[in-house]
Amino acid sequence: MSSEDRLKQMIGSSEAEPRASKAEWTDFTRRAHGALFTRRAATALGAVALLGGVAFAAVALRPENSPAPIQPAASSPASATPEPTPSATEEEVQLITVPTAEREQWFAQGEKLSWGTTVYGGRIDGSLATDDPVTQEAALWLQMLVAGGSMADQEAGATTAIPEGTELLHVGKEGETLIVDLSPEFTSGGGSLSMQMRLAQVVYTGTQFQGVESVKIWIDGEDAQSIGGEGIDVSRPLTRRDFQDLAPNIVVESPKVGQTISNRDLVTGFANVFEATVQVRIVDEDGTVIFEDFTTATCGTGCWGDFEKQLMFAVDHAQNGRLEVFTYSAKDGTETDAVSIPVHLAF
Amino acid sequence: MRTRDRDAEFQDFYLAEAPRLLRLATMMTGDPARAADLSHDALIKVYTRWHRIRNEDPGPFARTVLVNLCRSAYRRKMLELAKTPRHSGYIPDQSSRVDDALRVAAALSALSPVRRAVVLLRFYEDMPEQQIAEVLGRPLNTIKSDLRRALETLRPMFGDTVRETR
Repeated sequence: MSSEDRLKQMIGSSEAEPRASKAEWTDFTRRAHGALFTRRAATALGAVALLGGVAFAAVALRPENSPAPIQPAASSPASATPEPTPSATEEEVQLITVPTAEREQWFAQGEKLSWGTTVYGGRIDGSLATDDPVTQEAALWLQMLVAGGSMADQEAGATTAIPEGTELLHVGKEGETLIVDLSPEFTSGGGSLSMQMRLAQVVYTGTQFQGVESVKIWIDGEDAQSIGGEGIDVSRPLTRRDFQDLAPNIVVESPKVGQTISNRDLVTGFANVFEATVQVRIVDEDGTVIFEDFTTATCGTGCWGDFEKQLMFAVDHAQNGRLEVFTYSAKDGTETDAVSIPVHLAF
Repeated sequence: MRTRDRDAEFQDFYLAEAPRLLRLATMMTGDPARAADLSHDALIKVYTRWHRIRNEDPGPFARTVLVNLCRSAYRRKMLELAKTPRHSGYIPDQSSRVDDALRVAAALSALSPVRRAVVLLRFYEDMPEQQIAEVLGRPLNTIKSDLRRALETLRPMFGDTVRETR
């Protein structure tokens, strides 16, 4: 027997290996999903490392079957260092810190929009946004949105219509319109529902911020006029109302997340709920309900109507709280279609 | 590419390839625990890049990644790796297979990491020389001479190993 044959015999053949077990596969996917999310986020964030310690969520009320909150990659064990992109070295990139806050991320669930909130903050490449805290915050959250959802979202059935590889290029603001510039991948693949859904995800995520009522889409540095094979018109700024077909049954337009609300402020939005009855309440920092009342939308039970309610409350010091808007189920009287917005309550 | 689709496509690759990559890494490093880490890291890299490589044969790419990881680990831990392989803290489910792999690793420890990789890709993975050249990013003639020199190096100690396993 030649040395070569002996060597072969000693080493054995890879064909002889048994297959891995299902348990090993399950264990692998658990860690791989964390790595994948980090990689997507890292791609989106360029050379920016995610800040740690923010992966907890506090959602008192979420819509039925809404996704579990996103777990940002900071908690992922398999992923200490995002890979730097060649174009973004540490010397070139000016990093801007966006404070940690609870914000909404909008995803698709079936053919409807759905949302979860996450407590998250971090640093972004300063060139991604104009010199304005609102655009900078929007850039952080939109980057996370285009980077895709996490395991927790996917297990809850949330998906994203935004194609993989989409990058956020820039966020600016003109008046109450957020200008969101995305890479061309955003317009690739998918039918018209998918196009509508991905636009809606960006518009809903973008319009949660204070002073933002609409989103103007740009693609690859150009003011986009239409996207997709069927040419969805994006020539004008888009609002939450442009996507009523996809919207959950209650959408609050004001106040925005993190906004300071005072006695006699209005809560406004649109809804399609049973008998047009919309419940509104405020919960203070201790979880005590300090205001609860209902209002009637201009239409209901199968049609969309606008609602508006004046808030009446008093607190003995300024504090964080939540504004909750929901309806009672016609079927069993349970609270349903709930929206819960973190706000500051003014003294 | 959605994660669910990625999982569905990747699962079969994982089930077939994970044990092979683990054994390859064990024979490369002589350290079962490190081999487990390295093969896992290699699979994660393949998984996160799956959308780009799935249309080609992902096997060679996985080998390229794994060999590069093993070589980096070797560079970082050269002194440590030069010692006898460590067994502590590792519970193999197929102890005899792992022992075999460690015996191979010990036999190949006289070779440089790249020649060890050439030998293993040739005789364990049964890869043609041309493909080994592509996986390792080295010219074909270098691979041929690597193989020849590796066999020359192993020949004297080799007979002993074969007798031992009989």
